[in-house]
Amino acid sequence: MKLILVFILAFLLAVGICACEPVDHCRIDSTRCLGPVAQVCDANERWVEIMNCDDVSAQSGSAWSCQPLPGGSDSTCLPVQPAADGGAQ
Amino acid sequence: MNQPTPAQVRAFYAHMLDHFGASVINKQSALEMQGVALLLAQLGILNQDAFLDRFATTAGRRIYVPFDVGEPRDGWSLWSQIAVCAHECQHVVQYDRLRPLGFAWQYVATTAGRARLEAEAYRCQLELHFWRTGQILSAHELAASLQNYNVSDADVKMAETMLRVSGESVRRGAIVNRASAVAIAWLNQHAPELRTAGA
Repeated sequence: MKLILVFILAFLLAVGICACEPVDHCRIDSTRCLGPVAQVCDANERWVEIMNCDDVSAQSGSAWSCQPLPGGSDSTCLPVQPAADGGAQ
Repeated sequence: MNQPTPAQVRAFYAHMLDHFGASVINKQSALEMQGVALLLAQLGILNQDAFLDRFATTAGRRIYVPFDVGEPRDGWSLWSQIAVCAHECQHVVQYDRLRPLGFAWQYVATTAGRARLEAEAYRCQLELHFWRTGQILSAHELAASLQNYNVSDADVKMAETMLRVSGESVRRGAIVNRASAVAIAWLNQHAPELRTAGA
């Protein structure tokens, strides 16, 4: 019986540990795109949302997506440019 | 540049408060704010007079402002009353999004959380200024305002980055904050003459 309890406890601990999110440390002030979300690395080295480009599309009209800024290292929501062949991106 | 009229400011507040289910209270006559001011002063966070005179404050859905709406006074032009209304309504949006406990935790317990929430709200000033003038406010100067919120230098830097990249979106026509979207829709309809921007 004791062995079963120990096994259950070990299992629960393992599941609990495995359920923890991986800590995603980042470089403070850097920015990135995560799907439609532009994020910035805060002072705790955690990614936090700057804006969601789907929300920007809904409020601003036209289509917006998270992209790197031209000529820079930052990312933010920018209008989706039509593809060169005329098709939508 | 055209200035809003007192009647326009009062109508703007009426619309925004109705839309976001908020109320506005003169901070200087609110006993609870006198208490908060005293507490902040005792903790050495903020001078009592500065808190009551220079800062608007939102608690839940109650917006405390250091002026009578529609009456300009030192440091609070009619346009700045419009801009601060959008800023405080964005805090109501955050309060709804995070729920009371989540908002309180982020705002009070962590300087990084407070900086992010304030940077988001300051984006309203960025968006409304762009609507009016076609110019982007300095992210550095906007973020420097956060030094009054007892946050770290790293928090201020993060806020500056957030506002700088937001400015890049805004200059391309983005309206990010919900409160800005509601404010700009009202201004377009009821006070388009305030806009000098060709954008």
